[in-house]
Amino acid sequence: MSKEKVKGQGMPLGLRKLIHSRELVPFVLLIAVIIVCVSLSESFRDMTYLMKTLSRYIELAMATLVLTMIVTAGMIDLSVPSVMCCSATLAAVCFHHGVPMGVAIVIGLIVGMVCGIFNGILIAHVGLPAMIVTIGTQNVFRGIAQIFIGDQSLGKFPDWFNSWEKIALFRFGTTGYVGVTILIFVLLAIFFYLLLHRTSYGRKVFAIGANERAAIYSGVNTKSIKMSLFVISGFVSGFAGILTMSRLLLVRYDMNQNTEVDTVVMVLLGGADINGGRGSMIGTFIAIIMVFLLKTGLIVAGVTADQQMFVMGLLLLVSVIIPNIKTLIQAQKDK
Amino acid sequence: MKKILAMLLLTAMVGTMILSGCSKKETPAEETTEETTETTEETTETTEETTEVKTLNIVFIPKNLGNPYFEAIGDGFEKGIADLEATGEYDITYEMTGPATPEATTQIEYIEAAVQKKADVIFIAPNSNDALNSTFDDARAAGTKIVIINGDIPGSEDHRDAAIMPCNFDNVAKAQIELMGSYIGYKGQFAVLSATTDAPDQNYWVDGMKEIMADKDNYEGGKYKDMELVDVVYGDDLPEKSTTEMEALLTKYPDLAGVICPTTVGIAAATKVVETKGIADKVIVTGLGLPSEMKGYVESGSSMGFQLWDPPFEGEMGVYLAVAVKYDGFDFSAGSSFDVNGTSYSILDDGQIMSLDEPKLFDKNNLDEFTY
Repeated sequence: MSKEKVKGQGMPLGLRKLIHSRELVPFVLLIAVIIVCVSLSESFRDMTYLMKTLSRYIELAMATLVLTMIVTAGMIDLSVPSVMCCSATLAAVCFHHGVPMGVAIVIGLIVGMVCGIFNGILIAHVGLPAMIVTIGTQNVFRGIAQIFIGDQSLGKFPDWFNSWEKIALFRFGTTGYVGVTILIFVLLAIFFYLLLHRTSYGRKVFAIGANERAAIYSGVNTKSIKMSLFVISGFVSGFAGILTMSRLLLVRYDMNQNTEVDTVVMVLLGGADINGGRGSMIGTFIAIIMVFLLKTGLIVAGVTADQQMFVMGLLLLVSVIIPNIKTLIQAQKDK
Repeated sequence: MKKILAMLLLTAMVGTMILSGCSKKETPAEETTEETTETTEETTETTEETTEVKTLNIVFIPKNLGNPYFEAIGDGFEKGIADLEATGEYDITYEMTGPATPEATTQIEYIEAAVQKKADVIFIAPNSNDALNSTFDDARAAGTKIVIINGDIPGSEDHRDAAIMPCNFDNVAKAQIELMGSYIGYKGQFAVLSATTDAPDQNYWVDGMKEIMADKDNYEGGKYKDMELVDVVYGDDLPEKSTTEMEALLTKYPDLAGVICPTTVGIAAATKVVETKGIADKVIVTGLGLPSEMKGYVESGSSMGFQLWDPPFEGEMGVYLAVAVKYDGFDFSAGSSFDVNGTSYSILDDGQIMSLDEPKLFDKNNLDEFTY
């Protein structure tokens, strides 16, 4: 025992820090997925295809960044895809009632924030469990979209609004390009990284997740922090919804339906603790890329839809088990 | 020690995950690589012998996987491909792939993956009339043809190359009345139990039936002049509502000889009503039904027969259409045609191809052959 301890201490500090960092698991998985995917299909050596496919996942990924902070604060938001849908739908409805597209977009963003405020009031001020509230609002927000447009598609937007994801930042090869939405995502990721890991606001988020009572006694206004998290979530989700609408050229009530699990998987795989207090923006970033590659890889490899669901379910379990494995072993030893 | 143990376990977990991931995915991957190597070998061999193997890449994307109706279309694709490959002239790559749930935009990723794999033709049963338009445009710009199968996308016809229709809908009304007439001896009252009041296809057929019956004294030499269309009711494609409406019809019209249900939900519910009441020989129920749902009623004698489309043939037609597009210069222009097993099919002005002229009859003589 003592020998091992000496060995462990002998490791260079950087390596030890790396091994214990929360980004290790997603990073190892990412490498594994890349290896598997590249060996599976030639398509994975085709950057044009990858970039095009990535632009399809990027909107949901933006909202996932905010979800990382919410999970870090010990809560969850399962209404993200529904907020995306609701904001985009109401923006589109406004546009079709004569509101200029620019104003309609602003209305969409406001709708997103209102959805967030609604969640926030119920969770932060009324004190209801976030899981229950957002399962409810998930249906409420999508229901609103369905009430407004039913089973119809709403599209025919002005040309300047359509296909923002195809605005090329720079081009490569014959048809390859990196779309502007990918840049927005990267900028958002940097912004939220700084917010969560480099500001006092971020420290408070961690404090709430680790021990809310202690945070209150330390003078943290937990209610306003929680509220602000859901408002940010609503705003970014609304923005992501509008980007999705621009990409699809239309909106439907079932936009992004059943993607709630994907968002949670990305956050948890990124090293966030479902019980709060732990979370990593870099980890989520890596996990987003990993889930995107995995899903694309499974489809290109011709894995059927039900088997894909199996893999995603397995991934969710693994993402919850791995970060807690140390604690589990510790608990076993203490017995 | 604890930390090292934890690390070991962690690596083991990751390892098993990767392994399980690999083994799960290996099967299709290995198959495809083997196939491709085989085909390249074959082609090199055959080019030496100067006989050319025609390659073709077809992808079929159903509304969702696990739907027996679309599985039947898939069977048709496989049959057509097997027939063509048996001639030795063709080497056809075929894949049936799609989402688990029939949502409007879940098919996008499958279309993009098919384009990435350089599919020549994508056959798709879309979940929305317009949600896939931009994806279709991108696919066609990349050189892949988009053919809608088992229907069309009204309002978005500019975004697809063609549509294989299950049946010529103009003939459904007449075919259904003829079937009803043949079962009731062209005599007596009949009613229609339809889907919802705004179901476009059903309304089109019901209007067609009304037109025929309004002109029954002159239509086809007065063949249907002793038949009377007494009522049209709507079961909203819900089993309970259809049952209620059917029972109301029986009460309201005691002399009713038959009911036409041009909807699969309606016919199943209505047949169950006459079976339960033991009046299946007095009130004949027919219409458009799914063989899998109607099988029990046909076996028990409660249903004499019904009609529907021929999904396997739609798939088979797709294969020949794809061959015609790639090798025979078929360019989807109106009036141009291609052959399926010796019968010529042409494309209409609106880009539609009718796989059936009239709906196909299913009764006790042929029902066992069908799985959908």
